[in-house]
Amino acid sequence: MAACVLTGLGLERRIKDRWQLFREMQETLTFLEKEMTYHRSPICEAFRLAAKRCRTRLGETLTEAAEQMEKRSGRSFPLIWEDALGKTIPSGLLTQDETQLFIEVRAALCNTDIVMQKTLLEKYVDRFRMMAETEAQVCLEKGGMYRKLAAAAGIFLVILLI
Amino acid sequence: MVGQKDSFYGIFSARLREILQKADLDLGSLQELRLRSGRPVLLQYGGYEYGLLPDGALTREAARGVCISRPELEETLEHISGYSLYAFDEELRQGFLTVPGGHRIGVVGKLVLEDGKVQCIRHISCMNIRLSHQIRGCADEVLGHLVAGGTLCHTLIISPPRCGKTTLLRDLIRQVSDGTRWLAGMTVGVVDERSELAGAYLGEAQNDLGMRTDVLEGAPKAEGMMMLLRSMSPQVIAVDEIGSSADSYALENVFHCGCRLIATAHGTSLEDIRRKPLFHRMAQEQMFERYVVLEGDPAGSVREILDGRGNCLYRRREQARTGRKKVYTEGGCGGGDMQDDVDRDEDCRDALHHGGLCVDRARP
Repeated sequence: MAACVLTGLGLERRIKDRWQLFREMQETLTFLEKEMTYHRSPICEAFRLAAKRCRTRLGETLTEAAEQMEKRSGRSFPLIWEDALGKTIPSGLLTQDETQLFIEVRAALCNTDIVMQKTLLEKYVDRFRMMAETEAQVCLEKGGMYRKLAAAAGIFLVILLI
Repeated sequence: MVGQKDSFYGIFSARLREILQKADLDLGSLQELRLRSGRPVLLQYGGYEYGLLPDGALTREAARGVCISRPELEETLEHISGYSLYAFDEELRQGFLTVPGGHRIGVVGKLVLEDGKVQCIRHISCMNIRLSHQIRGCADEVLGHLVAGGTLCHTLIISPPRCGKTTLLRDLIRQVSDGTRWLAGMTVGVVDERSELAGAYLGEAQNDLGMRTDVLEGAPKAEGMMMLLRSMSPQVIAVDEIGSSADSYALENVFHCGCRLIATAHGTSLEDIRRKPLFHRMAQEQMFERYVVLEGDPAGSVREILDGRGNCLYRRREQARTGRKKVYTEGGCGGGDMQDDVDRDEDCRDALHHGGLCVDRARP
């Protein structure tokens, strides 16, 4: 029964994590947009400031990317961002398309066309807002259901064994 | 020097960095590097233009050199700006940005205008990387001529582009600020509109301008001079490349408030400068007390130093003798009538080469 309940809780946890990650990504991009537009903070500094506000694994991604950039090793930003994501975001948390979307955000974070960068940032903020809303809905609908189903399955198993 | 090289090469894309590392250039002789999308990389090295071969060798046939692609140019921009091109928005509107080491990168592309004002540059397609060379001591022999009665004279450095006027001004600022045998240290206010003098990168000065120097970075020259006068009470104000009509009012304020001024202007001679509207009246009224005229052969050579009336205090003249360059000094030629033909062996002194700048040992 405990195993069934834990499986249900795990499934619910995964949905919550995804929702929090999308919401935090949207908040982080909004924060970075402000840092870039009004404070003109270099991206490393902006990443570190944003990382302090994060509660999910995204904070580690930003810190890792900032560290790599500060090393000035001559690597391009797309590589640094992709590596940081690969190291910090658990592989099972996101689907392939979502992972690709997270990778593509690099074009909004570092772009040699300032006008395009602002447009892309706004676009990705909207995109992640929608994803977070969808995931919140899923969380409401399925989160409780997973937990209840798992508990019911556990009880059923116990009854069956008795 | 190795660290300096690594830091400089670090601004280039991976392939170009590798080629430049193979080339093992002397950064002291490298003046300029031009990157144009889809075109060969061009270097101004030791006074000549070269292309760069894939094995790092330099070639005078620039068309044979390696070309830089658009993505490589963008990667270079990423490194130059520390992945944050937006942070250089203000500088980019003026067409340049500064990197660690004080090197200035000029960029061109498509300008975005709003109400007739430059909003930003998009699609950057060409870059001109001008290396900043701080040559400590290059003003050693000049400074003595600029001091009269224990006071620094209002000085204008006249020079064509790329002849070392900014380098000379930078060292003059350092020496006036720190103090030398000619002068006690003075408080110097520097208006560094294009971050060339201090070579500031994200607010941090990369060049040594002395311990009593206050740098106002990014301010328009006229406004910057007035701000310094009001806020920092400098004894000396230094400014690079004056010449616009907007500078006139601020310059007059500096002249009449007890401050000393060191400035530079584009030109080839005093006569050239006198023809410019801004300087015409100033020259007539002898507002500048010293004119230092530079020439480009070799780069940074002091051709002559004149007083406010145009009297020659120092003049350089080269002659090939026994295969060596000699410098002749003629003091007090009078009234601008230079007696070039009077060459006296006792005045002959070997040229001193402080990096690019070449002056003689003449005493003031």
